[in-house]
Amino acid sequence: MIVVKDVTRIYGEGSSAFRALDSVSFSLQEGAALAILGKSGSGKSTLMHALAGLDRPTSGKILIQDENLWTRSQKEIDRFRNEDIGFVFQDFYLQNEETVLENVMVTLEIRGVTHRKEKAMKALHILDISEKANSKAKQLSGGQKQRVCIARAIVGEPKIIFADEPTGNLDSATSETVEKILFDLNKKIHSTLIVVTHDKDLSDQFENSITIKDGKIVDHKGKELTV
Amino acid sequence: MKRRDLIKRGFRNLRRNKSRSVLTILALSIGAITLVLTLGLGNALRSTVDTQLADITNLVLTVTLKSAADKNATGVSAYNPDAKVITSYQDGPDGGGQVQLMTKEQIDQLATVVGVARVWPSYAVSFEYIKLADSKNSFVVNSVQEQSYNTVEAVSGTYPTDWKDSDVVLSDTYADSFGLSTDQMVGKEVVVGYYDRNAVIQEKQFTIVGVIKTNNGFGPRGGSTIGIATLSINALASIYNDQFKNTADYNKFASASVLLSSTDVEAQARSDIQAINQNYGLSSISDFTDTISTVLNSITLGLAGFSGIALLAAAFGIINTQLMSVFERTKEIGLLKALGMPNKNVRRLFSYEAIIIGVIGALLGTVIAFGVQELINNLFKQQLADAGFINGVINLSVKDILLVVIGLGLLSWIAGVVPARKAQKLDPMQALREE
Repeated sequence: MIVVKDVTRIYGEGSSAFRALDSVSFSLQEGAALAILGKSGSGKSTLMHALAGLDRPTSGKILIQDENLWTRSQKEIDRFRNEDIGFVFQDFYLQNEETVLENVMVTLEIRGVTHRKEKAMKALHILDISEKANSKAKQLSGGQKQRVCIARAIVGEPKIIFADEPTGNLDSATSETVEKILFDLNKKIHSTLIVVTHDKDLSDQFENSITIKDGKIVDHKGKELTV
Repeated sequence: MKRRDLIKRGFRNLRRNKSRSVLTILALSIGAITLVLTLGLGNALRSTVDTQLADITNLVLTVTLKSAADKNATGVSAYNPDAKVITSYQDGPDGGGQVQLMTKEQIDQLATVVGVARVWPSYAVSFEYIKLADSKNSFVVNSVQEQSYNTVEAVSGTYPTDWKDSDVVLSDTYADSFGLSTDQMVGKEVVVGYYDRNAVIQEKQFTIVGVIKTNNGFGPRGGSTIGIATLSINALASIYNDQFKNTADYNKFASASVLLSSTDVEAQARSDIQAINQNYGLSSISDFTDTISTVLNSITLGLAGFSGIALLAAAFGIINTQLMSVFERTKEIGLLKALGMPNKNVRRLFSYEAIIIGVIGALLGTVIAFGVQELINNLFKQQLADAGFINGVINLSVKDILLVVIGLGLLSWIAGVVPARKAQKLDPMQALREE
């Protein structure tokens, strides 16, 4: 269960202060798939970063499995980011000079686990890109890069997978493949999936969705979601 | 994150920026080369001096009598006609005061000091000529020296440890004059001639027991035409009597030598001798070697200081390289942090990279310095050996190399602190957004 209570995020101070999130509250059941829909600047990414332990809200609290995320120590938050969540970026953020395998293993490397290679190969198998394991990341196409990025997100078997505009940099055919992969993963490994998008067509495919405008939830749907 | 993985990642990052890493390492290795070579040079100088002096025991003390100087007086002291001593115008051993001549009685008194095995005055004798007993051709003797209690290497025969009165050791320069090899000289009878106090030539016969090199390290030195004869103290004493008995200066000596039974008694013997007369000046070879090592250490340290400046410049190179690296890898740092790498480990990653640069630079510098050592020591082997550097002029020691490697690792770590902190403080979200 993910519970968001009165989360507000204000950037800057005084007259130049900007309220990116304004008392956002909702709760989401474990294993659900949620789309956060909104235009650029609506606050949807800020919400996701707050949920993912990347951006501390100005006020309000976020409970993940009944545990308050932002009152934890930095060490605990680092551990949360590394072990409990997986992150899929719009811009992939792969190390171009390193191999696909090395890129995927980095999560496990930070965690300090051994037998990283086997686990990373397994993740690459799930995403059907294991044949590229020893290629440099820069040699891949956009779709392939996004699959590697997803493999990196799931290799640590996280409870929640976040995806920030996962299809934003992909053509429509590749987008469909990536969408399918994400939905399959949600069902297959029972991770909660939270996707941020500005694409109405994509969010329509989710069972749960919230629409954000000017830092507030203006619309929502879904059985596993309570607003 | 495991330390091993951090170090591996550090190596990978340095490899990725190959040219920049190599240049920084080169800059550092140049400093390391100069430092290692300087220390190696210091080692060689020290070990050469040690080898040269190894044979010289500290058992002989030289005693001189300084005139009692009034420390508060200025100018030159007035002549005292009642002093009853001959004032010699040479500097005392510690640079101050004039040396008075010592009487035989004063010298003999030194033998009463505990731990003194033998005392003898400095017999200044001179020879007019030397010749083989069965030959008419005579040659000059440039220098007559007294027996040494040190081990002296003989080219032929032996340098006696227990001198007989008839023993003589000649320099190898006589071989050509006598028309003999140095080996043939050993055992030959020679006759020396000298003036007695009545200006009449006296002759005395000796047996050659050994031949030494004219140019013998820090020992007796001379060119290829210098003839040196070394005699026992007893032989010198008897010739001294022939030459000076009943003259005005008879039994007055510039200095005396004291042979100690062991080095352990040196400190006590020194103070006991000083107790007899506080104007006795004492010097031994250990004073001399101490001075030499002080000078050598100062030179080495001074040169090392210059290498230190080169290393300081290289340290700024590391700071520059690592700062550029942080700027370039902002996104990577952001990603690592977003994926849960603690700030502390990000800092460590950059510190390790700096240390790797430092240690590789030090090792590279050491390897090059080693090459330079081999090159110079082998290329100029003969010239160096002639100058007394038997073991070469550069002598790298494992201790110094370890010191340089650890020191440079430390220096690089310090140089890497600022960039590493910068990386540590980066906000992951801002870092990822950076274009």
